[in-house]
Amino acid sequence: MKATEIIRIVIFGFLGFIFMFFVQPWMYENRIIPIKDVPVGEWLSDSYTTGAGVVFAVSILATVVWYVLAANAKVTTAAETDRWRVIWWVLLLLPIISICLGISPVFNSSKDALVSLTGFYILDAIVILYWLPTGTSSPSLLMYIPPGARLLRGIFGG
Amino acid sequence: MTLYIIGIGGTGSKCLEAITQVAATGLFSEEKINLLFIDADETNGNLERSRNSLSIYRRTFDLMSGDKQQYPWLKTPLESYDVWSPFGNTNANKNLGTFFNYNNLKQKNPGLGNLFDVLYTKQEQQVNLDIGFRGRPAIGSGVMSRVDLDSLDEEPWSSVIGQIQADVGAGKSVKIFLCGSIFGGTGASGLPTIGRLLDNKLEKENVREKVKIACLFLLPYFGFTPKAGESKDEVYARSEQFLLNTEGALRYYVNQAEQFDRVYLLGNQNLSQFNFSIGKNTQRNETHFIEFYAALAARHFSSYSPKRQEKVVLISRDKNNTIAWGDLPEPEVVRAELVNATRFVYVWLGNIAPELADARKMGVRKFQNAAPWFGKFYSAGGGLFGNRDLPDFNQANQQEAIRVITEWCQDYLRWILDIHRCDGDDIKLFNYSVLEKLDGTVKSDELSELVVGDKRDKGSKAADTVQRLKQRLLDTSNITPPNQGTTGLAKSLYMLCRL
Repeated sequence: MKATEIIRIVIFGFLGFIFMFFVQPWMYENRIIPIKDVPVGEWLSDSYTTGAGVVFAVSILATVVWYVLAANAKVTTAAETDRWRVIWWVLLLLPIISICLGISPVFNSSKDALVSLTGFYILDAIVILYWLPTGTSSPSLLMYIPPGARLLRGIFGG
Repeated sequence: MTLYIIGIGGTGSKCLEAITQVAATGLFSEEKINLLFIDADETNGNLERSRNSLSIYRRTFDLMSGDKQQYPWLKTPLESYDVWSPFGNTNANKNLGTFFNYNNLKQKNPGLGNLFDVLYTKQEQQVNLDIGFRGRPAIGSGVMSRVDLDSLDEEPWSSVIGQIQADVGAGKSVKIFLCGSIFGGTGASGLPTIGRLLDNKLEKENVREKVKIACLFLLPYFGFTPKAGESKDEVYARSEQFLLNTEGALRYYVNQAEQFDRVYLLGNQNLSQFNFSIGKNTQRNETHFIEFYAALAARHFSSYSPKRQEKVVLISRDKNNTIAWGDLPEPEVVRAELVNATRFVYVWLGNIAPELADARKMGVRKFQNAAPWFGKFYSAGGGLFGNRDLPDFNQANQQEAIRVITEWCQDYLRWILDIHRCDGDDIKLFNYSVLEKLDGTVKSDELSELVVGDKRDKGSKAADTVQRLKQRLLDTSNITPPNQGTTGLAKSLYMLCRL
């Protein structure tokens, strides 16, 4: 496992954390995205934080699981390596399920926030916390398995 | 230093084949080796196989030309003078009687003609010698003795002698290594004769003191049983006479080997059984580990220090019926290079070559996503990604390079497998069961199990996988050219296969 790979995962994790627990709540609090059906402060401290925490944790878990599995993968041919695409897409289900939970009435009591929250969670969970880290930091022979990995590595290095 | 190696007869050509394979592993220096085959039977199967191995070597050598500092593979240029037959360009009947103009001899000098009849039976006088000297050194000696290097303007001798003179004139030390069997036909007759002729010729040209001549005599190491129905009166090699021939020859050489500065003797008490052949392309005996030792003897001669006084060089092994790494001369050095080459062959044939074939089927772009190492050597076939300075995988020259390298690997594998199949001896260099599976993609990675007596710890062996090698292919920044395309891939892999 390369140090640079781990560092990139940590950086994207940190970025996701900042977005989810500082930037997005700030946008709701300052009415950049207005919510009228529930008190914003209450909603943020009760529903949103818990839901965002679940989405964050599950997405990070999916990324870590992918990295650990990929680092220990026994692949000697391109055909064997190619089969790992299926595993990547299967693991993507975890963030997707967490998003569904996060926007459900269990963790979201505001219908006004539904669309924006869905959009934020997709950006956070799928893009920042799963796709970017796996696309830029998958170990050696699986480095190009996540979709668009070659483009991402061209942009972010690695 | 320039080295000339002359292989005489079928066994001599097998020794040259072994020298070609050993040279490929980098066990000789970067100085050129000149090879000459001597055989009356130009269609001999052993000779044909040796010439084939040599041409494969030279094609691969030309492909992988460039800086050899980083890796020893194919670092020795091999030049070939091809085959010389003592019958020259004679199209007439190739029999002893015609060669000595027997009818004329009998008429003009009856005494000599009668002596000829005493020395050779009627069958021996009339038998067709275009398949060699049929295991009869007396026949071979008669033919070889007529060779006159002074008046021999034909190739290759004029080139060989001319080149030796040029090398000496340029201040290079020159070494000539003759090899052949002491018990057969062509080798037994050719070794002393060609040795003597060369000695005399170089003496006459005043260069003999600057040239060292060595001879490797192969003692009996195989036998065969003639097919049922072969008449006892027919003239063919008889393996039951090999030991007798050897005893007679060795008596001669005790006092008559003055033309050689060094003598090597190799033999095996366990005689391997080969299929009987009277000659021509059916005489294709399996490779034997003795020939591998012959190549190491040539290596020893090419590098020996003149300060050593030993004239006769012998070697022994620890256990009867077994050959292990410790039984080889300079075992650590020989083992390191042989292991490097064999590991490379294992990985290339078992994984890389099949993967490159898959790349053609899948398409470069799709393949590259599943094989990132590929993009380090070949371009991505257009598009935004990949290094456009790298060669296009689908170019004819890249595909040809893959074919050439694969061909070399297959030839080397055949040779090393044959050595391990020796009848009557247990060869403990590589695990035969691992190597013999290389007829397609290896299903399990047994790279770490390849070498017998591998003393690495469990952790190191567990980490020694084809997968790990391919991971290391991703970083080729320290590799000097050639480091692109197929040649770059092969070179990188060869370097990574070193233990």
